[in-house]
Amino acid sequence: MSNLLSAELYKLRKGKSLFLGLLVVAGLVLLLYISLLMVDRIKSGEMGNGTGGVIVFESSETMTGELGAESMMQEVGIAGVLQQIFSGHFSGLILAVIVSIFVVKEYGTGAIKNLVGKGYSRSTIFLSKLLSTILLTIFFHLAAATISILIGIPFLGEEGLSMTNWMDVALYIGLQLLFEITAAGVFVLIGELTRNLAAAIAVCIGVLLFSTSLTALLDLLCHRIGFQPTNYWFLDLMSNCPLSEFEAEFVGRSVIVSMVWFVLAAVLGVIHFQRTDVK
Amino acid sequence: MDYVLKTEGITKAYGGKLVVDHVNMHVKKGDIYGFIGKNGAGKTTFMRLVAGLAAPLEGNMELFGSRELEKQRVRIGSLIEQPGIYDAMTAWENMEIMRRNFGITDKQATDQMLEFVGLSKAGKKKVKNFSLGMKQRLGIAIALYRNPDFLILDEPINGLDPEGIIEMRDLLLKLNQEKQITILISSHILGELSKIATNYGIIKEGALIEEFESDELKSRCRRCQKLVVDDVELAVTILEERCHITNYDVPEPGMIRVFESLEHSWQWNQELVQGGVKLMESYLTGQDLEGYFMDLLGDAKYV
Repeated sequence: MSNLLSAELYKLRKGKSLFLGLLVVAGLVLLLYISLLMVDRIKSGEMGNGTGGVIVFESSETMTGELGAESMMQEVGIAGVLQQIFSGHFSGLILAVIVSIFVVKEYGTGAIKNLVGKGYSRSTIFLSKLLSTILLTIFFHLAAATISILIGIPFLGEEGLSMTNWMDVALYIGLQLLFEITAAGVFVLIGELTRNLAAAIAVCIGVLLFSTSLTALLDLLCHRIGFQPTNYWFLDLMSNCPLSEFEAEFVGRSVIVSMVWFVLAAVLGVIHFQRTDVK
Repeated sequence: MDYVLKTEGITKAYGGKLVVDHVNMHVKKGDIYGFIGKNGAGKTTFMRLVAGLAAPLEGNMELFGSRELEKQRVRIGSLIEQPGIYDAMTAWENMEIMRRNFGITDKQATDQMLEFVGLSKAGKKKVKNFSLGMKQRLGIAIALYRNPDFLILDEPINGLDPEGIIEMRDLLLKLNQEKQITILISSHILGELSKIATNYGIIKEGALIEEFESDELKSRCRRCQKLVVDDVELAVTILEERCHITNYDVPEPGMIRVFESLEHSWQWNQELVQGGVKLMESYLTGQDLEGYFMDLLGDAKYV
């Protein structure tokens, strides 16, 4: 297993997709902060409303006809940007592409043939891929979080940083990491099932974006029996994860739900890989 | 007999259709076994079964005399269909991945293997910029990395230029003779295959229809006069006594093959008829290998 892992990490190091993915995250975060900066400038009258396509509406709560004086940048803060990046599935989308490339490339290039039947059991081969994907996800997630924070510093200044509750931020990043690891496990399973890059990316993104609509529908259908599927689907938990005031029940449920889905994906992946011919 | 590969009734089906049909193959230690068949005959699927990339529907297989296939497959190197290589990496990086996968601690092994297959000068060139021949050589380097005792090569000379074909032939002969590696090789270029193969297996519609040695093949392709007669005993007496023929055989009842003095065949025909033998057929025959295989496979289009 350690040999396979060493080779997988070497491939990751040599591949460009992980680093390109982080570059995209950096770009998105930068855009987000620039948008917030523009909102603040519009609100302060330094820029006209609608400049660069940014339109600021009055608050529905105050309905004063004014745009409000408070800084949107400070209101959203680092935590809010992190929430946009992780709960908004920005990083999930990029991760889906990176993991799909990482997994399906083995089938596309035929490199998987160099391993199967060469002294390693199929489950070992699959699990080494899964394990290296977890390491990839941890690196990607922490790097994406760090990038989001570092880019925010010049925009928020000392005031913004001092307003940030770093304990909450750390807990939020930790919970999101848990969800992203589970998502990565599901993406590996999808890659294994499809063995086609375009299909894998499409299905992964489909799951990421539309599965929550499906669980919402299931909520509606299961309403009478008092069961809420959204409470047990990790992507719903990912979207609904709070930024502060974490309840122990939510944290516990998140850990259990994530682990169950991850283990399920891993088991299904191993079974499929063991039973399916390698072309 | 010391078999590297022995299969009994190996069968594989896709979608209810048999693609490998009860194949009994015998590859002896030291053989270069030429595996011949049309496209879709089941060659690649059979090779994938042997390499463990696919599971058979039924049948038994022995590798190196053992049925512990997982254990024995470590001794196999294979290049089946396209070489499994990462296009965006260099040859060295591809080999480095294999070195790590196989836990080979000697870092020089990569350089040595690239040198062995003639890719040491490929340098920083990405594999996507390689010629087909270079890719094939890299595929073979990967297959050879753990010093296998048995090499499975599926169409390794496909698409190579004449120089590449000669290089590949020399490489395979070197592996077989110097490193005593047994080779199972399929190819559509039968003339080329006949220059290295010691044994042949012919597969048709999933079934292995014949296995024979290269000497037998040469004998079958030898130029001769075939005579189909009613009385072989009488015909042989006439050929020996009146025509002084000694180099002949009787491959099947009613048929004589004469291998000498073929330019005088019209005279034997006369003698046989005058001696009271009913001569049903008399024709000069002898094929090149490709012609022979075409006949065996049932039609002229075998590739």
